[in-house]
Amino acid sequence: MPTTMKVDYINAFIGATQNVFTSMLRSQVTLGQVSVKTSHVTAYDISGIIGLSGDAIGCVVVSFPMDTALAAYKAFAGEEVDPMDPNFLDAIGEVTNMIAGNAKAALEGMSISIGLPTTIMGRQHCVSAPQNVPFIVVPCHCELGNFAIEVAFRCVKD
Amino acid sequence: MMKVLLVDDSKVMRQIQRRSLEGFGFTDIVEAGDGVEGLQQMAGSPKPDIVILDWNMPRLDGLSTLRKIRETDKKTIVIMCTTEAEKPRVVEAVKAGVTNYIVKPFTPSVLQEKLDETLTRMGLSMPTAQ
Repeated sequence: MPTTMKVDYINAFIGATQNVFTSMLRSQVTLGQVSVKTSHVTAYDISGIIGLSGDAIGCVVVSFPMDTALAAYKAFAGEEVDPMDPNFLDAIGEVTNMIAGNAKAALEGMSISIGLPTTIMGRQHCVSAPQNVPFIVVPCHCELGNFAIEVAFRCVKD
Repeated sequence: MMKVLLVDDSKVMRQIQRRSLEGFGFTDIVEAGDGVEGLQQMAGSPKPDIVILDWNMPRLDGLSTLRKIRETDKKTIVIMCTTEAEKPRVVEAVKAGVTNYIVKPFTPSVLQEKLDETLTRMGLSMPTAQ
């Protein structure tokens, strides 16, 4: 499997994450060491997932541990939430949607469509990328806690 | 008093928008979870004066909803509030008759500025915040 991805592509998702967290969650995101994922298991137990199609294929996963996800919900919606409340996963999906949408806008010259967000909660769940598309993991930290963005992205434009 | 319709498949996003609008002084606010529900709300009485419309939604997306609205109604203010920020998408929305455009993520002040700008252009004004 290829283990590289053009820096501009991953930078678009990093910039989008920082923009969304600054604007909607009033939280500055710092980054850890970027790496290529070697298993299908997500970094944490709650994930927002959006598929990408068009000039590029792949998906973006925003993965949170419970504590960060609850803090992010409070920052986003302005109130506490029970993890079993449907609004909780709805908010994780909407944050993921904004990150994916912002990133695709930053990828100038490419026509990319994003799907509707899916959210998954559960220990050690797996997300698979399209075949031969590497998953790049970017560990993130902000005052709400740690989380990760995982991006599988391959340009298929001629 | 102006009636506002919020159309977004994220209930939390509608709550965030509603809270901002209430802070700006809007009191008559209704919601829809997709374009189909949005069109049902548009058929109600009184008809909303302002629609804040997401783009990517199940059943009927925002652009299709906008086109449906404009088949019979050229007057209602429709503001797209979406992650779709690329120029060709904005042009599509303008051609379909959108009144103004907000790119997510946004802050309450951006929402207020866009509403104020739109209403001023139409010879209207923002409500008085309580």
